[in-house]
Amino acid sequence: MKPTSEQFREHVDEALADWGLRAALAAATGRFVSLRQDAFAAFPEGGALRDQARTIKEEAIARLDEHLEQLAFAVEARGGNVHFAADADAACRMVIEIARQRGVTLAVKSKSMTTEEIALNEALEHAGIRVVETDLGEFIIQLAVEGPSHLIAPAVHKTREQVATLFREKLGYSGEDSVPALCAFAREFLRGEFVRAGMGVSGVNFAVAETGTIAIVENEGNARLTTTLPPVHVAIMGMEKVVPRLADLAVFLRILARSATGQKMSSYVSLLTGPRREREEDGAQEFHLVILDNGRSRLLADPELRESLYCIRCGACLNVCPVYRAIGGHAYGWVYPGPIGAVLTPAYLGESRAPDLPFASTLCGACADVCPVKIALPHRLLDLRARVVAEKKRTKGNDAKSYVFRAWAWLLTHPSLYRASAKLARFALKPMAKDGRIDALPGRLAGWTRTRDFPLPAAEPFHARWRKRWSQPSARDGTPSTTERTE
Amino acid sequence: MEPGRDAFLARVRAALRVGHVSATSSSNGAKEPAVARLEDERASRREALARLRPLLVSRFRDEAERVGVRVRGPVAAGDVTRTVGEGLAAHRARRIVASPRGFALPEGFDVLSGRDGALAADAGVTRCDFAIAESGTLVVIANEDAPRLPSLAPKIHLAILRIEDILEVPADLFLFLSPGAPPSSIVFITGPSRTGDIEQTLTVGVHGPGVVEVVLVAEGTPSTR
Ligand code: SF4
Repeated sequence: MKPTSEQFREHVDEALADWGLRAALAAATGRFVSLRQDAFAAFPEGGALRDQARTIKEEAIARLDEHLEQLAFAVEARGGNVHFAADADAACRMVIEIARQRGVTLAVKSKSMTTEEIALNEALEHAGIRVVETDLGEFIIQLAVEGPSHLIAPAVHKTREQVATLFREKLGYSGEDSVPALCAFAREFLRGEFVRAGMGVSGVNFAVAETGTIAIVENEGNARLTTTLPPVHVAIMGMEKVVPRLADLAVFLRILARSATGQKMSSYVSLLTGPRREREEDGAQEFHLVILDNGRSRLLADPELRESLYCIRCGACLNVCPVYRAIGGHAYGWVYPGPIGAVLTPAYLGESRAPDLPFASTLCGACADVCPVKIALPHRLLDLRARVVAEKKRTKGNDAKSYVFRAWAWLLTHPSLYRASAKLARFALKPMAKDGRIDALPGRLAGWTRTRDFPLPAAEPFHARWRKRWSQPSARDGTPSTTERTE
Repeated sequence: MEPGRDAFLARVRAALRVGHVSATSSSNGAKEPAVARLEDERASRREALARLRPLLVSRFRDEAERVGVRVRGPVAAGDVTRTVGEGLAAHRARRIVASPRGFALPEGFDVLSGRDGALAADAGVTRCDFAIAESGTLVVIANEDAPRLPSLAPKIHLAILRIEDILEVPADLFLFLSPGAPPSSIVFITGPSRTGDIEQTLTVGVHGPGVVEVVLVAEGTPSTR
């Protein structure tokens, strides 16, 4: 997927104007949020498991070199093949090479953000290999020639009528617009592709260093078909997906689905270790694991951003993010949307290619509260903001905004001047106010009051009230009086 | 080892040194028990699960039903074949693929085999290796007698499960797997194949089975392991 994160502001304007998208997003994210809440409310072990998950990820990443070596050794010992890819190009070349050697002309794919990241579909198509996405949502957006808009629900922005039209135009669908009919049609159509495909390409949720096992989590069963029907299975993983021990999966399997969709467990979890064994009847005969760096070692070398490698792609931080809920995934301009996308995109591509993303956050902290591996997302966004500002300063010098903030800082450190200017502001704004609120600010400030009121500065400011309260006798025993009102 | 791998790992090593951070906690994650103590741990967990059995059976039933799985039984080992037949008949399945491992199949159905058989069958009948009560999950392990497709390709999956094989949480499964290399495929199945990709409307059977049913077998049936 070609990044367009530099045009974030344009994307935002488009997204905000799309009321259909906003309604779908509000419904989907709202549902996920309450499902997640219910799942954790009835799950007293949740807190302890999140701590354990965090600890396992810290350990896995702190000795990533050893774990990757161990993983490669274990996969090869089970008869699989391991390929280390420094970047997206190398990874795509490896997959094309595997396909060419076996004369593959059709590949089926299950949902994987990592393959989106390396633009594998485009590369395979370019090499003359047709690729079919088999996750229903991904299949729909592949037909519509779009990118996913949500980690878990990629086609959340499409209505059933739009899907039916798409199926009619591209696949000759003649059934009705009902969701079950559309799903049944997709099942039949895709089953044919599974049977004909020479190669199945999947992502990886977790890879176990000790045993060479990969875990794939899904709800539809298309990943199971992808890894079972075609003769060759190629799994592509970011190198941060490794965990040390098989038993570690017990921790992640209990929090991943709960965080993502509120399910106790996703419909299917496949733990695959190498290709099918001798005398087994089905399953891929050949297994390849592609381990991808593609900028991850840069994050690894960065003490501030390293923890973003712990992400298990559950999507919980997206669903609670007020910015994501308003603009959706496409606006972020690359593969990873929401708070984690605002961190990963500039981190992977370089800050200059996504300079607005770290600012696409209210820093409300909801994302960090729900993250199952406790990534301090707001802090990471602040780190990136500081870098973007420092870079701007270095190349362009100070801009108007930085003078405003400097003046503001100066004012705040001079209390009597601050007090005088607050009085002045009240005096200037008073003619515009009704009942202490201003519902239309003039000129360039008008946008602020379009959807909310601006309060008139209080007649008796906070610091004055504070001083008054603490001078009253009841305040001295620690119970400030709350009876008097000053409005 | 090819040069790409060495360069890759060297880059990871260099990055690890530069970006070193101290961990926020010092305890270790899930611990692998020492092999010598593994047998003790298994034995005591097995006892605990046996004590919990009635609870585990009802928890499994509740959770499985919650995700849309019909649970029949527990029936005596001798009644499994008949109960499986009833389940198949209820869904008008005629052609089946099966890996019942130790249980006889009911009469009157076309029993297909192999990949093409699995793709053509109406229903798959499998024996489960384990179940996880907490989430209503079936665990199906592949081997020579247990292919992967019967629980995946047909629209109906009928699973036979001994109540002794119901565990509490996923960690129990990892405890009871034999040490060394895991089997080629362990699949956790929790309810039918499902999608919410069109308008967030839950729809079952989009790729895998849309109907999943379990026949519980009362205590005392020999294990396949
Ligand atoms: S950052 Fe945390 S909450 Fe967000 S997707 Fe990753 S693991 Fe989930």
